[in-house]
Amino acid sequence: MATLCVAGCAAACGPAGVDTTQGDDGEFYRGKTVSIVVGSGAGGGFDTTARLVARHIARHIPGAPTVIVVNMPGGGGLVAANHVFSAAAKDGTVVGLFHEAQMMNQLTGGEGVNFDLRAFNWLGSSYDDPNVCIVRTDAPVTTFQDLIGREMPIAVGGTGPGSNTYDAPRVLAAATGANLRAVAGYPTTNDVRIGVERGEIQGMCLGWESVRSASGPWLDDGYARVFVQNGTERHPDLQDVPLAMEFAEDDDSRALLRLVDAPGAMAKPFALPPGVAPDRVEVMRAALHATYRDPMFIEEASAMNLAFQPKDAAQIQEILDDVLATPPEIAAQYRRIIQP
Amino acid sequence: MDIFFSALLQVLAPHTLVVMLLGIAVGLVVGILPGLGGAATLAMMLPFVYPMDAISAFAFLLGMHAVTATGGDITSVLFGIPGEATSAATVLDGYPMTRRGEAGRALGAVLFSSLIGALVGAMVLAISVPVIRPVVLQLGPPEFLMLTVLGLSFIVSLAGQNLIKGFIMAAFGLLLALVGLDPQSSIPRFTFGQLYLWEGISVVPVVVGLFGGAEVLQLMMTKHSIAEPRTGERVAGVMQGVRDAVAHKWLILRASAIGLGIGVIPGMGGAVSQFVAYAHARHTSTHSETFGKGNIEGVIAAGAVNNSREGGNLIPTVAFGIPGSISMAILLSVFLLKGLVPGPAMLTTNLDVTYAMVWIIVLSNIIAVAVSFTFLNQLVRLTYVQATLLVPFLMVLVAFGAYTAHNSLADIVLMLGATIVGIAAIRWDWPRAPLLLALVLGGIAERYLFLSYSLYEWSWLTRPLVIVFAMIIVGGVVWPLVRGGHGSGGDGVGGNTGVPRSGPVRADLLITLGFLAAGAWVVFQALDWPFRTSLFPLMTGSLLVGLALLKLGASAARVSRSSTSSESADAALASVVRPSDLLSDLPEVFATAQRSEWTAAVSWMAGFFLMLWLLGALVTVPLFAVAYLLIVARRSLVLAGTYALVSWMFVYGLFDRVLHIPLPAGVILTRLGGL
Repeated sequence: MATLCVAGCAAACGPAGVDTTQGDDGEFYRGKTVSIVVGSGAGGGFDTTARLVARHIARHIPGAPTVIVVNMPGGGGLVAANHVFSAAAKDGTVVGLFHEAQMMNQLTGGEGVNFDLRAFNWLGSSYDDPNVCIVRTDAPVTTFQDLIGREMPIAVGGTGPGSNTYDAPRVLAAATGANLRAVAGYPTTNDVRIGVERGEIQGMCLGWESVRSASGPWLDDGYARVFVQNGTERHPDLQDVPLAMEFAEDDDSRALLRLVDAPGAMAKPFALPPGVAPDRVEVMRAALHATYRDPMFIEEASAMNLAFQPKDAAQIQEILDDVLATPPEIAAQYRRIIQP
Repeated sequence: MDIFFSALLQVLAPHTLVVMLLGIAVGLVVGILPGLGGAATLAMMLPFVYPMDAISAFAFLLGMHAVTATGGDITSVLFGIPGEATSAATVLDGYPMTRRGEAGRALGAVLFSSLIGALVGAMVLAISVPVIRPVVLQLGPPEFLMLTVLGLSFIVSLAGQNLIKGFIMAAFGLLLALVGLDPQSSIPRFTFGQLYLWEGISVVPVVVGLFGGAEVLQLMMTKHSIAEPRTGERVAGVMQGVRDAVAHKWLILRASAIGLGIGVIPGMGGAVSQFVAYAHARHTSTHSETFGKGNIEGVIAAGAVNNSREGGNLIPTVAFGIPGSISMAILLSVFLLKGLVPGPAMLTTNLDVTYAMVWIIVLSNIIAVAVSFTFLNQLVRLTYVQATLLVPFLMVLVAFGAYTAHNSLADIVLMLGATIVGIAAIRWDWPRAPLLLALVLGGIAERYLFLSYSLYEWSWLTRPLVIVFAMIIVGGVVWPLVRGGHGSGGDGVGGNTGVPRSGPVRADLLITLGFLAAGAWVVFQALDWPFRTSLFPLMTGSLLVGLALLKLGASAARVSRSSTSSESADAALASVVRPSDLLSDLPEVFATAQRSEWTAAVSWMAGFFLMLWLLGALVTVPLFAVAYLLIVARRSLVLAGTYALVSWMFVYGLFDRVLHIPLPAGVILTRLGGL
């Protein structure tokens, strides 16, 4: 009997049903607590972004609720994504900060994916964060052109499969013939940075936003340089740096490179679970939109060396439709390439 | 030099001093609460520093972070529950001292050695920032691997009287370390379909359960106070502890050096250094057999190491702008926030900030220790209170200590699993420290072995520092044997295997068979995986199988022997427990308790966690307090009600309102709310 009841309840509140009892008087959020669920521990990039937004967004939500950050680390954001998709409250008080790399997990049929990207109520993403590769200027080769077909590889460090510090150089090498050797196993990107300083690896690939904020002095001093960027067009900050796409060997390679680029184009996106009443989704979309443009928010962000390039829900949906329409054979090839 | 002292004046400026005192207060509270670690608190407190100037911001955050270890040590000594993952080794000897009524002495020693450790750390930070960079850059993945192996070699010391049991526990700890995505291929290992396990078994819930959970159950069964008041204890005991620490000044310095050294290396983690320092203390002690039973040297080493780490941790952060831990990554964001660029500028234009940080570590530790000494009598008196009064409070510490690791009920399940292991380990005398050390180091060893191989293939073996570390490791293992193998030495296998008793022999047999099965299952699972994923599981599983077989063989031999000569067993007992030490007379409640006492205590504990799952924290905490105080402690309704109210306010006020930490909501209430 109990099992029946639980099953019944789960079905009633499941992702399929929209809760129609949410009449909105515009003051729903007064006195409420809104939780932003972050799929990683305190102190990382996702957490920092979530806490920054949490400090400012309340001003833009009618009723000025309390906004808190809940850390739910596990599976590189998978635990939090699954939680927000199905278990979390559907009344608009739980917002997820999605780990965009999980997009590849759904596409390639990764283990443990219990969500559908297209069903989330996307609110907006935070950064336009193309994956770039940097190399020490004292390395034997410092341009991407010279790396193609070269005999001696340039070693770049990464954490492991599933992270763009590892997957991006693997795909880059496969798609362009550049002799990049990705070394997996560093615990965090900070450890990769120290590896570059020690000289056991010559460079690393990661999001431009992280490079700018954490390794800015390297670029300013000429210690290291960005030698290639992923993406479909050159980033405004990196007009002189070639796109990997320009060296792609064929259409399949270009498709693979587009996949590498896709997550970065909608970095650190916020979403409500499926099934939240549409008017509340609109309230939160407007609030996030206003937050990103709030002078106090921007001032604090720039003090933290963060520059936001938000995208709205429609743009995110477009990226997702594009990625998830990838032919299965390309997805399978992508999966093969990132295996060590 | 002028800058050095003008930095002190900047720290002593009234507005800076006030925020530092606030930070210290927060740090001590956070340290005392298990689970709620320094890093999470820093992240939560970060917004408060936006309006502050750079030095005040560091005074607040660094002052807070520098003293969490001190607070953590206090909980470890008083209740046997580590307040921080980095205070676990303090439990090993600190809590037994408390049990025999020497809490004052233990606290005096741990606080004083913490202070000295912090001062050493700060001093080295001040003088080494200019020169450290090339040194740190000499240490790469191969050297990290060797340091990890060095740490693992201390298992020999931690295993104690019973070498083979210690090795089995260590092999089991290594297996636990392999749970999760493997660092090379991201293939899930031993995760049983649980995403929670993908990131591996986290140390905090294991520490809390292995030590804290087991102690709480022990208290529920004894119903006595943790300790009996001893005449002349309290202040006299505290001063005795301080004198003990002074007498072991070289040990403090060595432990501080270990904390510093491991702290400087990014990616090694604080829990490692404490066990290494503890094992080192045991290794070099002339009374190594009394470690784990309340040896003051163990307390002193554990106290010094976790406070000296702070200075060590800051060195790469300041010198390179590369943080060695999450806490340091958060502090680094404060550097950026305040427009400071870590690196060479910290020695020139921003030298005052660097020195101010040194002073903040010094002052915050002095203040924290002074404050703790002031309240020491009250704290010690807590251990004289009837245990049943403490139980509801300690349950909250244990539950939230685990839960705050991932804000997940799975943390609590893991903690309860570790509690069961801890209880069995106490009851049948299996050492817990090797398991923990192996859990902490096992994953790092695997990671750096494959990373070293990926980078250098086998040529890393010829790096000069690798060879130096290898010689140190071999020397460390061989030296005690040469020296005559007192304490933990012996001939290795089944040598001085402690005291045979008929009950433990049968239980040991079952436990060993369990380990044997686990090892075999692991090997069987690992056979299908690719080489890099399977190498460590295969090695560890085979090791566990081999050790378990060895243990079975040794037990079989001993059973046949002890049945004929029970006198020799008594003689062995007498030689192990010397009349002079008061250590062996701790009440062994797990061994002596009646079935009914077991049933009652386990039911109450199970009831608490079941209620927590069903009804959530805000209902369970007060309800359990009322029920337990009325029924078990037989206190008045007024007292029970007040206790419940206070504990509810503590949980709701601190976690929910102030810190905004989500509490278990309870599946029933969530369900009702969802309808």
